[in-house]
Amino acid sequence: MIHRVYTTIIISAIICFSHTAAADDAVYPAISDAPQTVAKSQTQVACKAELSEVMETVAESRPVTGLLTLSAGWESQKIDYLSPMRFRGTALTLSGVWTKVMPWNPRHMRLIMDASTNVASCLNASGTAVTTAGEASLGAGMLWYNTLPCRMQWGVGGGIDLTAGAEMLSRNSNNPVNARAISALRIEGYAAWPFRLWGADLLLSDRCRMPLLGTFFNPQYGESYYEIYLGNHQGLAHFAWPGNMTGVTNDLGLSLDLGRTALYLGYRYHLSTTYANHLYTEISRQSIVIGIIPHGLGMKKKRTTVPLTIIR
Amino acid sequence: MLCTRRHLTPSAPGAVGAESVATPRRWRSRCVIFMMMILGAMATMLTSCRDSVDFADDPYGNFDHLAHIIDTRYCYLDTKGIDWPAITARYRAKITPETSAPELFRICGAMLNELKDGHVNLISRWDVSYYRKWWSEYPQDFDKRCLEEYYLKFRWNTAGGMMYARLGDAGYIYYPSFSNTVSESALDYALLALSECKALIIDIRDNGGGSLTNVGTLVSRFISSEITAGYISHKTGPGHSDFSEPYPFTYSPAEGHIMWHKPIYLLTNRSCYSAANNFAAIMRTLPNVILVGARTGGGGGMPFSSELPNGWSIRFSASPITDPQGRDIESGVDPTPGYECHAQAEDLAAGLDLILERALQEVQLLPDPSPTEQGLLPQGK
Repeated sequence: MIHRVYTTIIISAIICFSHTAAADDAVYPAISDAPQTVAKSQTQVACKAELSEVMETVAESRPVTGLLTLSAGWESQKIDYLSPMRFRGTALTLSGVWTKVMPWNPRHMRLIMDASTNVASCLNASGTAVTTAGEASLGAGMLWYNTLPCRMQWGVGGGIDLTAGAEMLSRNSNNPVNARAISALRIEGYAAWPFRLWGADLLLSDRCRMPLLGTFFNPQYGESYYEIYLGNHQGLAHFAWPGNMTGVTNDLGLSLDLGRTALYLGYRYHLSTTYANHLYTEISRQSIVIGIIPHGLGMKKKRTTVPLTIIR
Repeated sequence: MLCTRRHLTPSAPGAVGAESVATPRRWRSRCVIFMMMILGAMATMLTSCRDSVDFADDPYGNFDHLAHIIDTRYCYLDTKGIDWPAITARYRAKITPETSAPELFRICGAMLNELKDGHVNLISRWDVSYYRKWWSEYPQDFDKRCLEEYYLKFRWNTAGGMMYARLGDAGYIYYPSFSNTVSESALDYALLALSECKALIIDIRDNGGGSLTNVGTLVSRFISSEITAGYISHKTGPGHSDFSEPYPFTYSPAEGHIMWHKPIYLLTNRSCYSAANNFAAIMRTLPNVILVGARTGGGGGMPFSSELPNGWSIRFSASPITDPQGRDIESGVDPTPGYECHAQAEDLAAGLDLILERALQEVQLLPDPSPTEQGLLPQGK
């Protein structure tokens, strides 16, 4: 676990302090190749005018950008209600993210909707028991974002996530299933670097979400679902805060803009933990993600039209 | 990934031109992103603080894990006055790094038998440890062949896992296992078929338990209003007495089904365990029910499962269940005072079941029900 954290920090540092320099010089050659004699103030004015025009168009049409992904990877489960042992196996996730700018502030505000379903099958270390798991989640949030002079886009936001899932360990007697339900307010951060490499328009992006406050379902140890069915609802819902519920979902991806569509290739790390009634539950997932962005990112179109119009 | 179309333009003034690249603002933005990633990494680190102690998959690790599970999860250590640390120390001394798996299994099984709990099993691929003394050291008080041959005369009806027949003025139901699902319709047919009897004899001898759902299905036919069927509590911490407040669970009359409010004689023996024990504990509190026979075997805890690093499964009592008066039923349920009796093996071999005979005698002593006192009531619709 600690090694993973250190690795994340080191990779983050490398990405932040070295890689973006190359990206800055590569993106939008029509602009950076422009003669230095062009007055900076004139260019800025032209940019502002064009930007206003674009924003007005966007505010009116408010196109929905979607990212549909399929990810496959490794899942690790540690669910005290079922077993004190850790189970490891494979997971398959189908997910989608849809964004739409807000009409009152198209330049900085964006609505984000998430949905995903996941199935997994894991084995204990000795290979004597198998869990079968399923999970579904929905999310909605708002993101405030901005574009920096270095063309990097970043944003912060928040939202709400609803997650429900279950893991089944059929060899158990009265505790064969662990049900999970979490509703949480989340915070999230987002960053993207557009750049060109070997003539291809690429977007390196990272989106990180963390639950902050909320509620989650957690029965007591020894409490069967039959008993809950009979009416014992004491101590099932728990107020969640970072002391008893932590998690992170990080999507690091590279998008290749092909014009009318874009391909997405990424890595997702998902971690969700809860602790209540002396029961610790941890689900972690690492997966390779492939996906498509149906209408592309608009990078190609922008490069050929906007700068030439401005320079003239 | 989240970039909306047309939003990747260099939107801010000053974004144009190579001279704007190397500015302090770039470093600031990188620091912001870096800090965000650090926060994400810290969240990951927080979760590791909750990780429990891992035990190695070797003889000592497996033994210690088993001892730890019982120490923190088993619910009757205080009730039974068990000195668990002393027991584990005694058995741990028998282990060496070279202890084989079968030998370790034998040692662990012997240690678990100290709990004197029929709900405790250690399950490996080749064996299941099982504490049997809750019934093996007591008379059996029952012979199914004797019942079938001399009383039922090999003529009975079967419905929903139950055998039922008329024995003179008594209606007789034998229910061998609470694992057999009792359907409402089967109960309706059986009770209707026995409706002219003066009393009902429910025989649960040798019933080793099963699902509590079936307990509720049966009990709901014999009550006229909602009753508290018992209390259950759960472990909330690792301490031996860390329990939640006892929760009363209730049963309601079976609306729309045939109900039985005439006298009931419930036959029990030492092999009534778990759900059967729970059923006896609830029925004992009903005014028209008399328990006849021997003390039940016990098993008042709700068993849960766990496992060891080597893959062995461990099953144990995790949540204590009491009777409607809040009394512990782990050690069994006594028959109604004055109704304790036993069926000796030689009598059973000769075709005489003294426990059943006692119930039949009691039924014969009952007065004939008056026409207005039927006791068999369709409830609801």
